Amino acid sequence: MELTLAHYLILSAVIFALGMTGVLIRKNLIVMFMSLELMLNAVNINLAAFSNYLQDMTGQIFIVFVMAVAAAEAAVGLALIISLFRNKQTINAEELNIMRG
Amino acid sequence: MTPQLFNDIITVYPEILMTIFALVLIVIDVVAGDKMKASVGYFGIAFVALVALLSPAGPFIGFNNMLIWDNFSYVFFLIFAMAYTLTTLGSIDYLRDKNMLKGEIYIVMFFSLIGMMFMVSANDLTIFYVGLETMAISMYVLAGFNKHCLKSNEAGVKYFLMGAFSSGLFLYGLTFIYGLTGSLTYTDIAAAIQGNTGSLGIKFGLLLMLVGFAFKISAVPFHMWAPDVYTGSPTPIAGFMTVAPKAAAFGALIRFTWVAIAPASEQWTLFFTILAVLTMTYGNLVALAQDNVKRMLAYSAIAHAGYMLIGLVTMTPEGFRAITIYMLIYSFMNIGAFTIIGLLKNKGMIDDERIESFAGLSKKNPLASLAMLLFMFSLAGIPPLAGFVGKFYIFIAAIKAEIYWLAIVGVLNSALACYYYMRVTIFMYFKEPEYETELTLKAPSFVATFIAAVLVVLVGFFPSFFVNLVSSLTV
Repeated sequence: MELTLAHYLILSAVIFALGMTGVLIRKNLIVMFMSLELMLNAVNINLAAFSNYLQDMTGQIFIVFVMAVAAAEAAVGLALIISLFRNKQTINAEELNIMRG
Repeated sequence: MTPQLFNDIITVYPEILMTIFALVLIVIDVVAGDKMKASVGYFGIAFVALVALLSPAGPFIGFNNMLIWDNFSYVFFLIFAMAYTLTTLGSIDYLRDKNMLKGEIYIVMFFSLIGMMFMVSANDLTIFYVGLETMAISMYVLAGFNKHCLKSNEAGVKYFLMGAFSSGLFLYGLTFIYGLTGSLTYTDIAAAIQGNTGSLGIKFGLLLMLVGFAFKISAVPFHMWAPDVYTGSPTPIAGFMTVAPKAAAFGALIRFTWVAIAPASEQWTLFFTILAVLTMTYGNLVALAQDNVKRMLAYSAIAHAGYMLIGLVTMTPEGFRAITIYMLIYSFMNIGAFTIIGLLKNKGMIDDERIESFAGLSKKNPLASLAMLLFMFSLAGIPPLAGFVGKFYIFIAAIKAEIYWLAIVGVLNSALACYYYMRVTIFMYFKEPEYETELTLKAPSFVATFIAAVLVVLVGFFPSFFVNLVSSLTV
């Protein structure tokens, strides 16, 4: 069996759906963050597949940008989670509820 | 130097200047002593003003159509510059009082400005995305800047999660656009979807991308992060966040809808209409029930995004110009209001921003309460203040495009909004205070409030001069 564009698209759709569900239903901030990375990786698979299909380099260049931005985002995001943990001793998303109304 | 290279450099010249100045700001922060950190902010203002003066005029398109510097980018740069200037001046006293006056806050804000400029000037999704993230990551840092305050931590984490989630959706949609059109440049996308508007894949991709945009402008039903983030962030920063990132997202959205999806724009007016109606109505209805003024202004910021979406629904140059005018007016009136809220302190254990804290303010500090009155009336859209001018042009654009019912919904909504804005002024002028509060306007915050208040009045009384200025720049 030969791998076609559709296979890659289905794979990335599955990974994206997993990541999205993870962000929406999991309660642990670190796990939610990992799910976000999963979403971005699904994006990268899509870009690489399309780039190969179209024989066009733009998609692969874009992957580098996505990865660089994801790294910067990880640095800031983890720092924010740590500063939250210092004050609250928890990283459970359900307990982030001091603001109401 | 070849003409091509020269053209490219001119196109990116304002951003290059800003980047150099941002690096200089870091050096200034290192040199400045602990007592002198406000000077970083003052230098930042000077640099922003310098870039505004040195920016080249006229449209330049460079880097294979990827980047544009035209009057539209310039007007939006002016909005960001205005937001930066007023926030910096208005924040110095607040930050010093909370013992967190550091140079970083002005540097990070400056870097976010660069991201916003790239967002608005982008004619290619790659540049737009990198600009978006430059802005967004700076904003996460600013939201969580008060690291000893739990509210600020929560705001930062929530903003980060929802922001990253929305960029994930945006990117996934983008991949489909790339795959089906074969390009990321706006003009090429437009050419590719010209005869192909019925394609399901393109519709799906555009839907996800527009949802990503809707998150950034906090349109209902993608607004759930906004009230908490605006309430939790340090007050002057919250003022900045309700204005500048929203302006950048609107600017980029206008350019995207105007250029890239112009052939398919008919399909998306319904989407924008639903967003506009929901956003206005929900924002205003929930704001009615708020007792915390900061949170009330957070919901009012959502409602104002709804008014601006009306301009987008029209899909005409008038509508887009109206959004630009509205955004410029909104920038100074909202930041002015947030400056006053940030300065108001009470000596009890209750939140500083409660509406009861405003009781009797007119006797304690008549100047500040007069300014607050002007901002509230202007936000409510009462003539002859600036907010009215903004709303007027939005509704006129809707009427010219023959979408009468949407204009009526907008007018009804602004009538509804009067209630909660007036409530603040009633507390200031007619209620007796229940507990002790204090508000002192020191020099920097006085200047910020003064500039904002004078602009609110001037633009309100002489709208034609101001509007002509903006329209001569945007066309």
